[in-house]
Amino acid sequence: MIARDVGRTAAATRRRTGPRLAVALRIGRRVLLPASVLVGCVLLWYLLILALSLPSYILPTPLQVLRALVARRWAYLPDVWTTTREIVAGFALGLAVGLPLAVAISRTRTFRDSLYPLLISTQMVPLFALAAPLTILFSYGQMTQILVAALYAFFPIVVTTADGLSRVDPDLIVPIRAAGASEWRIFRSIRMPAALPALFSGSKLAVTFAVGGAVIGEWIGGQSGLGYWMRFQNDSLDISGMYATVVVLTLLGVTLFGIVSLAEYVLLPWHRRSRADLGNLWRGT
Amino acid sequence: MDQTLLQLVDVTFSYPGRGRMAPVPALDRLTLSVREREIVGLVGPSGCGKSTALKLVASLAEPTGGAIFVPGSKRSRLGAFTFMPQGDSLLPWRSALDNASLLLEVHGAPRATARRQAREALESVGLGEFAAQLPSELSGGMRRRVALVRSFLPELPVLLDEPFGALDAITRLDIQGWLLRLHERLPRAILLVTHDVDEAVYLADRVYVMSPRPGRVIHEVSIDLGRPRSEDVIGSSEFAAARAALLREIRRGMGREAA
Ligand SMILES: Nc1ncnc2c1ncn2[C@@H]1O[C@H](COP(=O)(O)OP(=O)(O)OP(=O)(O)O)[C@@H](O)[C@H]1O
Ligand SMILES: [Mg+2]
Repeated sequence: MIARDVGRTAAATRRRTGPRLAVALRIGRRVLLPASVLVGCVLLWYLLILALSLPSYILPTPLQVLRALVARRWAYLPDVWTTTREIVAGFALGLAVGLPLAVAISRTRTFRDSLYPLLISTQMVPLFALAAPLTILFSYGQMTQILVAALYAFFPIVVTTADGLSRVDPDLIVPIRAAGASEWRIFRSIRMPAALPALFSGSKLAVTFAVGGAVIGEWIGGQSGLGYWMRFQNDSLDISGMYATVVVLTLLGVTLFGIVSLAEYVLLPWHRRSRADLGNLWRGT
Repeated sequence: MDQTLLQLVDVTFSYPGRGRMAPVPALDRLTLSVREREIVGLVGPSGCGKSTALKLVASLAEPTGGAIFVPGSKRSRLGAFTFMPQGDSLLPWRSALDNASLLLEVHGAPRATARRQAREALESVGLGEFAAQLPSELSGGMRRRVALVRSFLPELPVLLDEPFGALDAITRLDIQGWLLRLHERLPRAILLVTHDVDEAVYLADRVYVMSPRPGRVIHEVSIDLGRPRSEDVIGSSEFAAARAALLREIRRGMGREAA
């Protein structure tokens, strides 16, 4: 009864504000605000070029980049497809390796103490140093790019998920432990679901890092993909073209982030209220 | 005569001290019993070891001395009681219905059976329309009710640790009456920890009064208000008398400890 009353009060408040004004405010916050930030950045870009009188082979103007982008248009698609496959495969591999590691680290002290320093050190090795031997090892397939993407992706997944698993509120566990539940049951029914928001936070970082990883892999040892294309444009001094490719890459990264974010929204309805990222864009109210 | 379901004899417990610190004695020769269908109150000053006593009964820790008997059960104490800790501890990702069925599932009931039983129970106590709601969509009082249904579904004695802790006075009174009706419908033995004297008198058949830490039973009070009890009982002179007697014992316990 009480819950219903609270709901009714909230609805009444909303009605009083007026639906049209509310919608207008929401559009303002969700669309106009980010749009104006973007416009501001582009203006800043122009100002920078004007103020430092940068030549276009160092920093092209937004208009030049836009022209290059429009000129190539759909010709980007095959490279987008290649890079997307590498990112998704790298992300999946990172997840497959990262999850068991996270569980191991959260379960035993020995694992935590012995694995963590090693995991951190994998992130300290400059990937440019690894890309060359990887390329030679796997000749000229996509494996290098996938591995580099995975190497970037697994780390945030391990760190956030291990944290999520070990930070479960003990009061949630007490009733089912007292009921005689096995450790496996506790893991399945409590720890794992409780750690899912953390896993999704890690996944959002991971997919973003995987974009960078795949592109570095392509830049160094690829024969196709956006990273390869950027290098080609860079080498042929087509700087506007290279920045146009960066724009495409950015769109790809934002899209992938959005997909993970949407998956989180759909799969964890109970967690929607406490989220602070793109999830807000889809919020019902 | 109703059968004894739980018996604590001279149960002693100390928390290990941190580092070089001395162990913290929490319970000192605690003796009490709970019989079938009975609601037994356990009251005492804050920090006297009430929660610790429940933890020991639920087998989440082992006593350092004394013994805990569970005559009815051949199993170990783990799984012989349901335990509702301070706070409702509902799982935020499960609906009210799936939270209510959780302990039945842990006790081995097939998911479908557990859910059907939970739905019937929720409906019978007026919570049917909330079955699909997530805990975050429920008020504090509703959450407590769902958690109580969850604890009452397995046919086991129930351990309640200050189940109405953070509720406002009106909701608290409502839900206390509701608990009495739930108990009539699902007559479990209940060991109820509280530091609210009125609550103990209103709900319990017997109340044990504990001393300050390390906790030990210093008095046992029978509450002869009969059953079924309704809210009207609270205004009666019998209620006032029982309340005064209980308060006197608690005061005495604290005074003696200070002297
Ligand atoms: N994990 C712990 N380690 C060390 N000491 C503890 C621990 N838990 C509780 N204690 C101590 O044991 C004593 C009893 O604690 P307990 O939680 O059982 O008290 P309580 O009667 O439930 O108190 P309250 O009414 O405030 O809930 C307290 O003095 C507390 O400081
Ligand atoms: Mg307590």
